Amino acid sequence: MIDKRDAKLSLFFLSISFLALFIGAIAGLLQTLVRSGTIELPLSIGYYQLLTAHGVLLALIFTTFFIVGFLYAGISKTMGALYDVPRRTGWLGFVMMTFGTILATIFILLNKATVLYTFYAPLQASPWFYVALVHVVVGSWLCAFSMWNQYYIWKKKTNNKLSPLFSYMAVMTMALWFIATLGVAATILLQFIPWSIGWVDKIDILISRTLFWYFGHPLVYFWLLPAYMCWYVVIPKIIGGKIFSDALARLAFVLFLLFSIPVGFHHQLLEPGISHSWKFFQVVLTFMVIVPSLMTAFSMFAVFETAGRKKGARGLFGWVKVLPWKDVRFFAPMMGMLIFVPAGAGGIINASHQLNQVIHNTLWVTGHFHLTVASTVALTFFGIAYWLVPYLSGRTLTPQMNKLGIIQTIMWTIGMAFMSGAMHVVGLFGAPRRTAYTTYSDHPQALDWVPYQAAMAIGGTILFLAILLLIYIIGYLAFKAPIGEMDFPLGEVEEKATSTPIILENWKLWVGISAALIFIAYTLPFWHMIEHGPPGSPGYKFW
Amino acid sequence: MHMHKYEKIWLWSGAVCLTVFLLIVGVSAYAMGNQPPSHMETIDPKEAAVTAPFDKPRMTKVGDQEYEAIMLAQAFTFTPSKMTVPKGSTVHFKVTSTDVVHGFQIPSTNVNMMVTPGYVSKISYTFEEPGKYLILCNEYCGVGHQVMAVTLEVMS
Amino acid sequence: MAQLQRKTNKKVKVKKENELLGTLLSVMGVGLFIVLSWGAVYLLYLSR
Repeated sequence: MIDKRDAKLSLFFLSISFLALFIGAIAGLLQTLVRSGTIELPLSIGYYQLLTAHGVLLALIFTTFFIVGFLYAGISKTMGALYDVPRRTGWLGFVMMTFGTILATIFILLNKATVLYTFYAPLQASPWFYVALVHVVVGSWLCAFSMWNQYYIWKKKTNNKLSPLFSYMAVMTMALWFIATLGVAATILLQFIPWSIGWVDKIDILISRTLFWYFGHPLVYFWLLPAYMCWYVVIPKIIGGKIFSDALARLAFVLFLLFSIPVGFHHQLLEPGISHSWKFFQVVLTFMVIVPSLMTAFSMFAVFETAGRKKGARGLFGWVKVLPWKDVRFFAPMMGMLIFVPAGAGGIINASHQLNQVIHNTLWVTGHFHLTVASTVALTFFGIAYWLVPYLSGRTLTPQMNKLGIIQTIMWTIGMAFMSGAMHVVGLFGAPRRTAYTTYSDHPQALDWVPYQAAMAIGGTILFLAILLLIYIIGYLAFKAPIGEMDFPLGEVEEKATSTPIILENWKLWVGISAALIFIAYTLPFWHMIEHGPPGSPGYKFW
Repeated sequence: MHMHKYEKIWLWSGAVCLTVFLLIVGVSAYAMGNQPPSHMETIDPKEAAVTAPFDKPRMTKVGDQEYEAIMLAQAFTFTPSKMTVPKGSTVHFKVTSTDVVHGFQIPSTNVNMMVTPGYVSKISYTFEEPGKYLILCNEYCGVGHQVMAVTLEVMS
Repeated sequence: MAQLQRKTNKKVKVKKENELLGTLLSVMGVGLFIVLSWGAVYLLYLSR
């Protein structure tokens, strides 16, 4: 058990995370029912209002709170109890982030911020919505500073010993988050807040979009890296194996820091005002960030195979059978990993320059990120929560809850297969994302999409039931489960693996290269946007 | 850093595949002109509706089997709302927005682009098959976003 | 003697590397899936 005070901090983050997940899931269920034409919302609630709540609460709040809570627990476990300053900074971060979350939720519910979670200008929400987002971001920065501070003190006290793998990855994840959120903080503070308050009457749209997507792509890696931490560090222990290679795991995280940020243009491939050469350049960089995921795929299979062979598995694939399929701590993340195969393939397609014209802003994209963040990442997070929540609250994961967790995972996978599968297919037909129920005056093509939208609603309903089950399990594990000692599964490194080169902990070097790549990829096109930009736009409230 | 022989094989095959993907899209983009829409022309968004050529949104014949569609996107409609071309025509769409960001997409074709206020978006497409093509907005633009669409009729 | 030692070492190494053949085939399967789906969407792009 880690220090009680750290467990409490971590649990507070996890609670807000699951609360946000529950509210966001209600919005999600209603959306699929509206879009399939099954129900109509009572007059006072809008489809796009729900969509805003769903996006903000799940993509931004559920993920960020869960990640910070998970990282604190792991840091306290691997580097020892938090020192005073890091812990206090962590609480301050929690208060700021929670305040921001409540404020944002209120303004979304008041229908004052129906701008979706990407809040593209010149749709203009209440200034309080943007102020709320700043609180979430700055609060998360305090958490980043606090984790770095812990790492720094630990390094000093241990005479620069090699950091534990988990903590190294946590520091890297927060470094990536900090560099990425500089972009979104800049656009909110310098553009959206002055403009929504009325201090300036115009906003430069392309610059705001570019700053948003400078943040928007590394955001998806901020979700993914903690899932990778579970795969690299936690899963080997659960399956009775060893970490394949400490050095290669760290190298993968370095590559994510370098290549996940200077690639935002691949979300803006179909926009005017950015030359196709800069787009293509960032497409090439985007392809570089696939490499660490290829490395991860190999490492994971290697861990499975090595562990299986130690248990006596024979034949080419005998090791598959001896994996602990009945242990939800393994099963849920494992389903997440398997789903990452089609998710990753879809991602490569999305980023392939003009191929983006086939799928951009269609339901394919929605289907895609429901496989990445809402399945790969979410299932891994659920798998973590099943042992982390009882671990932190001094209780145990009972066999019964383990079984329910497995059922939950199966339901999630089936629900997502329906919903995301239908989204992918109908997206290729051209059905747009972020659109309420419509048949475009009974256009035959749009009518062909309706059955797929019904499949989405079936999937959405299964997913919602799975969320109810999840909330029940988590609630039981936090408050009801038998008192006892749980394990924080932390893998050890394979004895024969090569030692870790210290260059991997040279933060100045990696942050420096990351900054250099960002400057190369962004300076000239960004300068062009400023120099040759059109007159700005006033704000619009079209909802 | 030691790497397992099989991991090297895997990473090299991966790198080769990714390079081939990039070569395919790169050659298609730079040698055959299949670039994603990236027009650089700007316009004052508040004056867009009174600035030529957008003061008169229309479809005009500009050559043999070649047409130009000057279009305005505004919440929640496209103008002109009725357009007709004969089969086999190449249409050059030139679109701008007078208010918020819109999308411009014709399902089952590769016509798909963002319409950002302040910029002129351009894309061309040759309509080989007759039919009533749906042009829809695929970027959330407000409460009536789902009705924002027009049709383009391609006559046989 | 030294030669024999080298021979055994080599054998041990070969055996160890072979232990991950299942891994190699699995990731190659993943790679094949990626190539096929990318190719399918590329063909769709060409056909439109």
